Amino acid sequence: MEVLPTVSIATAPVVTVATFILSAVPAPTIASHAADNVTRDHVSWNYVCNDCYNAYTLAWENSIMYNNHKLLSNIQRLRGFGNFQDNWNGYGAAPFSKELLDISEHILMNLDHQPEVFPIAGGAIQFEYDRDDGAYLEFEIMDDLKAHCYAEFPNGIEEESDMEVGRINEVVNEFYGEAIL
Amino acid sequence: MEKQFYDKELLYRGVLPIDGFWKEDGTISSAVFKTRPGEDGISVDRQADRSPKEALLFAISHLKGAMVTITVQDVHDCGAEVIASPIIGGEEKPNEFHSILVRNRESGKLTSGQSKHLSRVAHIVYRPE
Repeated sequence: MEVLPTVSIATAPVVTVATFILSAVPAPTIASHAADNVTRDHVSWNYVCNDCYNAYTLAWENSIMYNNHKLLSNIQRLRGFGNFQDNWNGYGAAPFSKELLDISEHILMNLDHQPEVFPIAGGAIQFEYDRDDGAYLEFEIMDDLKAHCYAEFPNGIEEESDMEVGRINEVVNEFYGEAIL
Repeated sequence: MEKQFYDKELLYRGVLPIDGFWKEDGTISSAVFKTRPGEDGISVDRQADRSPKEALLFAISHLKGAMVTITVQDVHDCGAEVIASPIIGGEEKPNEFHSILVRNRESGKLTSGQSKHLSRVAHIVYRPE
């Protein structure tokens, strides 16, 4: 029988709740619950136990809160890169262009999953994603609206490609195994 | 100084800004091992025939920020190369231990996979308060 996070999820840390949602655990169905205690999930349209449905909804709301918090934190961090002066890394790196920072901020605001954000001495911004199973995805954002994408998977496969920055959200969603609408 | 690199020889790379490259899981970002335009490769200080402590003290005397180390073997494991590139004169301060990490003998810029590999195996040996 499936173990459901109905009790612990309300008090779990936000990150844990977000992880629960982001790992795309399917909502429990009526099969394991009494028939008089169900509701219909508006996304999957499956019948779901009321307790599970409430927990699932709470987790979803928390994941949105987590993503918003992470977005604000990333934007703040990105804007901080704008203060970097010549030789900011001790090896002669130049300051970032405002254009690059603006592009990167715009991309961040349109992502379903927030990355970890890092400065690159080569005048680019790097977004990184780490999946729980060890898979890794990174983008180097350039100021010509291009991005270099690199991914590693637990089976040892590596993928690398150049793309328009407009495709980043789609690739990230694919990385997390979510359907692209 | 020995010109040949040996597998266990340590290579020191400064990390600045100090809080700029740490990931949530405590490791460092591969961005630490990415070059700027015009750079021949990733600058490091080689240990050479010094003790790790001696090499670290020298590195933090002229490189700002935190310090991470990798070994020459780590560099070879991902197919990259390390080349001695002592700084003798010019605008920069002389540094006989200066070396560079390159993709291979023909190309300077490390691949994304090489940068990621090096960030995974890097050890943080110094982090100022």
